[in-house]
Amino acid sequence: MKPFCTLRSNLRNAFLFSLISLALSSSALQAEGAASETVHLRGGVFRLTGTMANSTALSGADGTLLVDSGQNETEAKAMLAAIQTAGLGPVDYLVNTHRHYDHVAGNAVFGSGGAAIIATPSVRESLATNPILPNVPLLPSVALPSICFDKELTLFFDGEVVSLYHPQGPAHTEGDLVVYFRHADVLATGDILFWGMYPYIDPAGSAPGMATALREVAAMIDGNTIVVPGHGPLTDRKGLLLAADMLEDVSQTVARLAAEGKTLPEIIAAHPSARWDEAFGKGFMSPDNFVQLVYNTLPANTGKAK
Amino acid sequence: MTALHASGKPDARLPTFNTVPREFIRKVFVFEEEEKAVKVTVMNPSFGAIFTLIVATLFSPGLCLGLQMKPDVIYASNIRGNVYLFAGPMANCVALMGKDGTLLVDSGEDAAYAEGMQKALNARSSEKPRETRPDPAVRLVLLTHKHFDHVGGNEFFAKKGATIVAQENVRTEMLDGGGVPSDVLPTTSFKEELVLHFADEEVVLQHYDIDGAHTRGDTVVFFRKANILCTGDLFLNGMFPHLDARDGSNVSGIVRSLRRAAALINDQTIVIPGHGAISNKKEMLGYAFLMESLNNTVTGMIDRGMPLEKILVANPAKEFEPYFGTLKLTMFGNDYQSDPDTIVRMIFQCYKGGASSGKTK
Ligand SMILES: [Zn+2]
Ligand SMILES: [Zn+2]
Repeated sequence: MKPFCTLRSNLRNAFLFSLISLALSSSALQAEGAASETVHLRGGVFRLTGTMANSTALSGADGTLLVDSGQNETEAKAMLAAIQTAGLGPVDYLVNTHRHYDHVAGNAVFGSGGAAIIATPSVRESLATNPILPNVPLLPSVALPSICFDKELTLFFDGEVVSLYHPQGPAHTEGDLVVYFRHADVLATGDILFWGMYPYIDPAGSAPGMATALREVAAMIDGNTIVVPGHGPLTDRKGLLLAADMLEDVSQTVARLAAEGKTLPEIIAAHPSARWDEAFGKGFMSPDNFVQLVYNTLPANTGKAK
Repeated sequence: MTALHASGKPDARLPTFNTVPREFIRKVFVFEEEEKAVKVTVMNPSFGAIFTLIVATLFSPGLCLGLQMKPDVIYASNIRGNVYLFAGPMANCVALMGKDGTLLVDSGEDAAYAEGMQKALNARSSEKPRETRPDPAVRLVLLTHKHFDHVGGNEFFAKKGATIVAQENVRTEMLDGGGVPSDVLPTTSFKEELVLHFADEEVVLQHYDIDGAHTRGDTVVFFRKANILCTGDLFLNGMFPHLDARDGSNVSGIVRSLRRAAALINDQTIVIPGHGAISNKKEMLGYAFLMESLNNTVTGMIDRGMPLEKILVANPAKEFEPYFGTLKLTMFGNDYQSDPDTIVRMIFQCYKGGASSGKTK
């Protein structure tokens, strides 16, 4: 539609791609082996291994619901094979937690297999308009979400109550959703939560927005809930709230320094994230990169820096 | 089959339903010629609406076709694009047919009717050339609300693999009924808005977060490309609204919902009411306008402390009788009435019921 949008989105995706694919090259390589397994979590809910982003599945008499489709079709096919090997039913529903390539690139594999794809409306719009990575073709129409909800959607499937919820945004992106399996008490957060690492934040999102979304979602769950983050190992409500504290603290400090007139290099040099580096600084994103992201997505700076 | 008895007592100035030539009904309501069907002259906001409602009442399939149509000749009228209407003896059901299956708005009154609709869809599909032949299998059933004449075919379609979609209150309300088989319940529930991309069409479902309208879970379904709006029972063309205090019904909720729905559409939109003849935006808003003024009159009398008996004697709905007719249906042993006394009683009961939790605005 608007050409600059596509361009910006390409830049965005290029940035995301370079950050994640370089930093996570080990897991990306793992995916080349195309091996995935299902690991039972609780109730009818499983986790799939071997993918860059975490995918979660619900299986039962009605079939399978999968959350996120992998960073490429190789990962998607590996997940499909794992689901079949484990004897789980056909994938009837695929949920996209947001529009980033590492969560949607395998959509066509499941869409052409008959899965109905569910997402927020902006995800469909973005996938229909912009390539998910620079220099790749648009996703085919079979890969586009066909069920788009605004705020909340509940699926009664496999005897489970699956709540899909769009927390107030923008958070990680403008169109994030979380998936809460109520009976099994398992929450798949998508990328509003990266666990054990500093998160990537889309230029359309913001650190404070992610913190707000995490707090909103925390109110849905309790201490027993298994929390599957978008990236990183499983955690719980405490971990989710810790990530919210971190995002709030770092963004407040960065905003204060910026208000004092400090430049980005000066802010980075002040190490505003120092107290969180032990818990979050050892992942794919260095503390300095994260501080830069937080700075770029401050409400005052969005649009200024890419 | 359905026990359907109807006794129409229309205004003496109007021809009775049975005198309307059947060919004419077909022409107007089977909509092989779409322009004729939709074009209705409107003179001015209020009288125009009244006039068009007379026309609508006269030819309302819920009234006239209902009396004449045998349930075994269920017909899918092609209204626009790949959208079909089942102007049934009871609720209107709408189908969108595509290469990957069919989407249905409301499932009809019972399994027999549902089966009839399926047969009509199969016939419609087979008349298309092989290359463009749509798949008549119903994949999705969207419910406008919980009432039996709109959900009675759920089990039939669910057993064949259809997914049933409704606003979240519909499932809760249906479960409150107790002993509902799971095949009948919606399995996909949304809160305020859901958009489905199906058969090259963008299907928008909206529920207005209003404290009760016809029920607590009313949903309008808008086919954006075909420009067709299904209102469910928020709009009963040619009939007074049907209210039930247990369902949280109130006229002001209906009026506000219809005005919100009007924001989706334009003058070219085909509006399909829950019951009655297909219509348009002006008629729909005219209905809202008339119902609002009736509601204001009746609730004003209630507010002034008039007891129900006195309000009935004052007969504030009398002037509407020619346009909304007098209709009495017995369906599955339940009486459904649309007449001046009944609407006043309904407004009274629902308004009183809601009076403790604040007046309707
Ligand atoms: Zn991700
Ligand atoms: Zn109804």
